[in-house]
Amino acid sequence: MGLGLLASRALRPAASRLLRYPPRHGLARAIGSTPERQSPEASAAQAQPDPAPELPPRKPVAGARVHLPNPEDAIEVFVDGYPVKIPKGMTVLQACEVAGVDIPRFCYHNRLSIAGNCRMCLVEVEKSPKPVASCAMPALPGMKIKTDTPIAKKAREGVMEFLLMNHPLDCPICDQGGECDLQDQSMAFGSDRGRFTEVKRSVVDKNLGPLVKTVMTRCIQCTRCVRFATEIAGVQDLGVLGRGSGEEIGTYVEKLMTSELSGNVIDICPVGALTSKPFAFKARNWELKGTETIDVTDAVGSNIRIDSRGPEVLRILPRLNEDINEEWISDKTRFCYDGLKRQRLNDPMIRGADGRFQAVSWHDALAMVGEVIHKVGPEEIVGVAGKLSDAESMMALKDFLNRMGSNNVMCEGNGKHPNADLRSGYIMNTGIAGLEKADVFLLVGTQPRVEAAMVNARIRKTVRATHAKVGYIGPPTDSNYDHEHLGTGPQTLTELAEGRHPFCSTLKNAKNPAIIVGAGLFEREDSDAIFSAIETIAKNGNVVRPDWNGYNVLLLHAAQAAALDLGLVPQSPDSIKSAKFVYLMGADDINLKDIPDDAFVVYQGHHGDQSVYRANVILPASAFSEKEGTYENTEGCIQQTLPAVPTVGDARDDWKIVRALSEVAGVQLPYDSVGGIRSRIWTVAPNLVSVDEREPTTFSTTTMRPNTNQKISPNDFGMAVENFYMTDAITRASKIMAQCSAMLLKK
Amino acid sequence: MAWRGQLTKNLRELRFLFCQSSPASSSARSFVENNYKELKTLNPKLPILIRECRGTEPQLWVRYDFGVEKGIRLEGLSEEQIFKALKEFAKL
Amino acid sequence: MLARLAAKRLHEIRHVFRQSPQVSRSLSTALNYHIDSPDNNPDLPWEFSDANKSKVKEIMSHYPSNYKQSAVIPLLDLAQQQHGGWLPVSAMNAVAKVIEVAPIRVFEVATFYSMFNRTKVGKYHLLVCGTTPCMIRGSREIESALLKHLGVKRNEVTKDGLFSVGEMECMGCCVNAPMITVADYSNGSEGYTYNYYEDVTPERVVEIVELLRRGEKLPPGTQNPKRTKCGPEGGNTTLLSEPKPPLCRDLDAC
Repeated sequence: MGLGLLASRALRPAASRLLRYPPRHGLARAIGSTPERQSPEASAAQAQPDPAPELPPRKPVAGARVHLPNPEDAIEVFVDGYPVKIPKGMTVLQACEVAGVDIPRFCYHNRLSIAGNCRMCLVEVEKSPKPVASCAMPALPGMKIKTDTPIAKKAREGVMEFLLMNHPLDCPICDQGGECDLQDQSMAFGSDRGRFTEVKRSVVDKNLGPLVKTVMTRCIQCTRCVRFATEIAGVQDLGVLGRGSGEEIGTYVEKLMTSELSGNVIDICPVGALTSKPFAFKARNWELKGTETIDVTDAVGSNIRIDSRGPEVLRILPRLNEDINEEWISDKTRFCYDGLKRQRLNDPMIRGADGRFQAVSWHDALAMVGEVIHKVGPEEIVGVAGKLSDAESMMALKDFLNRMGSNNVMCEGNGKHPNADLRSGYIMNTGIAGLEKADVFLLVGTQPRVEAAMVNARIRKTVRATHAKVGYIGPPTDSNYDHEHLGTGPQTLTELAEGRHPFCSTLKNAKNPAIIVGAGLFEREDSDAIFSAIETIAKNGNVVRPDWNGYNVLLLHAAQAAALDLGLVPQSPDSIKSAKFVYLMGADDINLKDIPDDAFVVYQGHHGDQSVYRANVILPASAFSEKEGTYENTEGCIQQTLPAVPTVGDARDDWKIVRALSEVAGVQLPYDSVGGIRSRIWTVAPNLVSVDEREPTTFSTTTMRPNTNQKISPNDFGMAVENFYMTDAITRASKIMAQCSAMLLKK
Repeated sequence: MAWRGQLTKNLRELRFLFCQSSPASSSARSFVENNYKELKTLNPKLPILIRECRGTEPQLWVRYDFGVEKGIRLEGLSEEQIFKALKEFAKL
Repeated sequence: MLARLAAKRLHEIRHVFRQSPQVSRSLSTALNYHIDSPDNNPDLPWEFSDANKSKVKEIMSHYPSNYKQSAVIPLLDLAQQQHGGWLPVSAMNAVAKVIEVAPIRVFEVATFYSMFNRTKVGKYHLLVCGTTPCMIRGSREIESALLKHLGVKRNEVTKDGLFSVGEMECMGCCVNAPMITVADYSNGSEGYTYNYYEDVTPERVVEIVELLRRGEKLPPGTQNPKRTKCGPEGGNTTLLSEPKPPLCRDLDAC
């Protein structure tokens, strides 16, 4: 308090001090003399400038790494006095990001084209008469950029004031509250009061489908959604209609957003104009716990963040991964979460004599299975791993059934005669990011738009950027890039292999040709012959070289790659038709009619989907959001899921159930911890242990596969995925997916 | 070399693990490169899994019935030695 | 106290201005989104007439072949003339097919410009200039006279489908203010005319409407018989002789 009094005394203006303390000797003004005024030499001594102040080193925004493709071509600009080296062609905004200064923006997005219409990124550049839009201005060498001067600050306040003028006061009811760019930037860069006393305009809401909720009054016309739909999703549905303050973003005619990437506009919209309809009014973002995990609805393994509150998964957001999914996820990935709440198996059950299930304890269920499995012969035991199984549980299943004497463990979707020998025969050797370097694509029996939407987005990115040519063999389909429909079946393939087709010359002249084969071809009887034809095409087109491997297989399910890596190859292809004991680990898409009526079926899974109706014993397991599991995506990158929510009821992890069962059955597996399983996997397929890594393959099937005498059958290629929205147990249980498939599928 | 076609009598699975680039695995790599096609043509039903991973020691694993597995390290072994080891495994 | 008086006065002034007869001062005749109706929905077929097909080809030849979309505005204008003054959704879709772009791009252009009518207009679409010079010369009275005579609101079509009234921006006849223009859609795109009728008075404008109703054509231009073109009544008082040439300068002196 005493110090405060001193401070307040010091703060009193000097004039009043003069009045209070009258000067002595009648002097009304104090005359001071400084050394400079006394002699010229002293002033020269003072004239030396202070040494330049030490500028603290700066790091680029968000820890980004700056890549200078041509070190000689780097130019130097000054951001707030700090010199920074950037590649030629970068904009002023990107140069400021390299220097660690985050400039506010609404319409600029680093994956979309530059619009420059929000004007929030205005900064002052020396020698420029007015502030420049940093997102659009290329940085020239020697430019002096100032981001914290009064002009820049006034510009930002002004722009913010204009943006808020017609923006409704919806924050309490708007879903974007808490993660809204407008809120954050107005707190950081806006002024504290507005001067708008007129009536705000309002805009009619548009119906974009069951996924995207629109409140168009909140729209600030940044056009990010229009550019996303045009460029990345490839559907030109959204546009800017009208002009001036009556501008509206809409589809003009009533059109639903049917693109499989339509959910990404929810992330992209900086305000609450486009939000997630299923997530509307459910939670605020600060209540949610985010868990970084991997998506398993398709084989891409997009990186996601599961936002959960307590035991419930409330929404799924994408995570940045430049190599796999950039920052987009497909609609199926984003909205399948409500299937995790429905049709869950939570207690072990045994089917009684009357055909009805009865909940029992784990002890009883495992004891029953252990008893039955000893009554059948080893060649009558069959194990089938499902689409969503992780590597640890598949390893445990294979080990357990091998120890019981069975060699018939397989995975769904790999066909009857999977060839798991050479890894290059079933993964995307080019890598998803590597597809950007390709200049000719040959799609054989695959429709990437419905099978792996992120791979399709990458192909579209390449086609847009470099006008790559795409040839497609399969049933007629609409894709969001220009492609040449070469044919519908194996005849075209034979023509290409023998060099008779005109597309062969395109392949030969290509610098980096890429062949993408669909995993739907695994199910064909003549798969060996088809693959050898494709390998001939690859050899003729010089697709596989030491510096470029363009031979790719696009898998359909999350578990396929790991299953083939672990060697889940059945010894006899039709073993299931003569089986007496069938162990289905999440396998819902096998043909249940193949199972003989007297076979004992154990179903271990998390949803009561289809196979449950044939099962004799149900063992509840946890879903991908509740367990830590290793998944390998279609390009061979190993990723791990993390548990976001606790599991349901009495369900356990898959591998733990198998381990317990093995003990009850008398063939105890030698590991009982995750580390133990991983060491075991390390002796089978060591690449499955190195997480977030992609192991390149050494030997290619084009040279190493033995010749086959199979004849190609004339049947045309079919569609591997009939309904994009309903492909596995989780999506089939989801209400949102049911709505989507009713409203959004193109008939 | 008739035993090469009889591998499926006793073996259920054959696995070659090696590193893509290290010199220790070079003999394993060349063995696979030279002999995989022949072995597979003679035993089309036998899964011969080739698994490469950076930093792995070269190993050969075989699996018999009832999950019994045996493996040896292939470091420093020449092609004939690897064949001899395989023959040993196939007999048991 | 002064602030209260000022606020009261401001309120009074605002109240006066709120009494203007026009309810909505929108320029465009339609909303920025489409509502299906029996005569305007995407399923109705629409094509350029045979005569217009050659015009379309001629228009497209003005633009480079890889920038066909530059022809969107002239083609939309032609489609509007053909369809009797307004653009149904199917016409916009047809234009999109001709210039090979997605339909939304054509919708964007059509909604931007207020001269593209996206709802029905009358065969004679009367446009009154409402910008400042015309306004201070009484365009508001012209408009209210027209609306009262025809018995419609702005942008509404009369029951016989012949007339509709809209507001237009300045058309450059400020010397002959106030003025109206008549967009004549009664003969399709061959007989399309867009004529100005200047120096109108509320009585004269009603006479013009009746003349048009009887199907007569009257010469466009100033409706004041005492004026010729934009000269004053009674003839010019300036510019009576040849203009004086510029002063002769010695150009080599610099």
